[in-house]
Amino acid sequence: MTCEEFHQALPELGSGNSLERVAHLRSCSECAGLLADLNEIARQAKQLQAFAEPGPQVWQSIEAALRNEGLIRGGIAVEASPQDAHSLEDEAHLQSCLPCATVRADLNEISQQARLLQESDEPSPRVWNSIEIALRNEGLIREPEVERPRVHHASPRWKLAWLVPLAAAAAVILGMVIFQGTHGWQNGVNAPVATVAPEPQADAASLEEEQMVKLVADRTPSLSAAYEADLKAVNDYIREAEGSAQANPRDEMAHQHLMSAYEQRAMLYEMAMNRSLR
Amino acid sequence: MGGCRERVTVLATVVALAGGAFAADLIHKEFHFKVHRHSSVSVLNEYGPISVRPVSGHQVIVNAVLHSAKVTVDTNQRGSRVEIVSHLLPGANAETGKVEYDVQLPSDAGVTLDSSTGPLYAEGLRGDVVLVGNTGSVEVRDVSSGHLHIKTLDGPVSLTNVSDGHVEITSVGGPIAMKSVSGPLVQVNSNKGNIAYDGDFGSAGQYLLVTNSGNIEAIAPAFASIDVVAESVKGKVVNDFPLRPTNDTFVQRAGSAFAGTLGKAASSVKLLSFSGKIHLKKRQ
Repeated sequence: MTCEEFHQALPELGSGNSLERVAHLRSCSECAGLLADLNEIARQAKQLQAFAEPGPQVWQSIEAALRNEGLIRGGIAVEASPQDAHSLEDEAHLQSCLPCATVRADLNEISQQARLLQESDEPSPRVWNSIEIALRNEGLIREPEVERPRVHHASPRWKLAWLVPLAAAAAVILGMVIFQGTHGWQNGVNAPVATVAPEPQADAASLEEEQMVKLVADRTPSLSAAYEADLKAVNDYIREAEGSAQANPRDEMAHQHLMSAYEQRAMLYEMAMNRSLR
Repeated sequence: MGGCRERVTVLATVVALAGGAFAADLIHKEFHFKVHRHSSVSVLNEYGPISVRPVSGHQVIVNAVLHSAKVTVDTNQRGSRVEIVSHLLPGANAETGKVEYDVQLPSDAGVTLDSSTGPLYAEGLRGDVVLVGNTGSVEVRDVSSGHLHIKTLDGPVSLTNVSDGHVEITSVGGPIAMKSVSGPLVQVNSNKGNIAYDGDFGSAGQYLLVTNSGNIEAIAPAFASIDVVAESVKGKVVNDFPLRPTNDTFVQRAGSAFAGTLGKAASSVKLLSFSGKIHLKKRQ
């Protein structure tokens, strides 16, 4: 992976699904420094926002923004336009900063793709819950505290750092949309059932899994066997669940099994990545 | 005979000395942090157990037992956020890199515990709790009001007296046992592990217990108020309750799927296994 490819993939680092980037980080001090800056932003963001639980207005704004982008649809009317809120300074910064420009370009691409994929349904409460949990786990939202921490001003270079958690949240939703779009909604009425993934993708996935196990082995050799065995078990589960969902496209339970199997695989990747990045 | 006794005495002495020498390698450390309400405490430990329990006052007390000098404990406090990390030095392994943590903190603190080998133990908390393990056991007792998230590969999970928060467990291989667990959302996702639930399913909750090849045994009292669906694609299902049929489109298949309501159907319960057995059992 080149530095340019890494910069383009920067918004996806939180999703924990690329092992190639980890290898690149080990060999490139510049990109490692960039990632360190990103982590510093996350820390600063926690300090900035640690003093209070966001009010209902914040959630409404997020929901409105997502609705405006076409990521969700439903009964609530939307008036806000998040793009209008960007200052000229931000726009100027985007002209001069490749990583931030890439983040925004990715967000625009995500929203465009989501508009194409999204059918009609409101995401389940579980989606909102997952976003809230992710933000809470990252320390971006908390319960109210007595003392407001000292505010530390971030570098102007990172004024658009708010895009990173938003991109992560959008990626979560997009993942749900793509999954439901390709495998049919849970009631199996709206969409056709997906076909089995083509062989090249399967090879790529297999390669990535090998890399994941290797990363675990490098960091904690005693765990690599467990990861390998569990990965195999999860892949078997996915195969069986896919077969069942294809045979019974209207069976909500079959789709639930498929969702559960993918959640397990996501957990394995996440745990392996977190461990290797420590 | 006398020689045998002598050998036993010598052996006992050697064992005692060896034990003393081993104990002498242990390094004890204690850390204190002052925090405010709703603080956040995370402990990342590569090898070894982490135990968390409540303490009065706005303080966090960390007792760490390091098994060698090849591991250090890094601490970091920013406001009411406290981070504890075991830092492995070159040459450390699962034995020499082991650290045993006993953490006392305010009950309203949010807690994140992460250990490869565990075990992880948390009790008496009211904040959000996140537990990440690999092969070690995970045990949670007397937790309420906060959300509880557990991720583990193959470690057994045990929850007792957990209420009023979201419970989400994802596990690949370990068995999961829940006793007196209730809340607005209880989701368990397992691959090979058995799932055991013993409780009343609360009221107005959504319970989703899913496993691939594991068995599910849910024990509930006769007065439980549930809207239940159970299905095993390849396994067998057994129901002890006289359920009222529902009007939805769920296809009931004798022996492999059933659905119905009990009482006022206050909570939604879904029990799903791909190839394991499911038993909805009435508490005697």
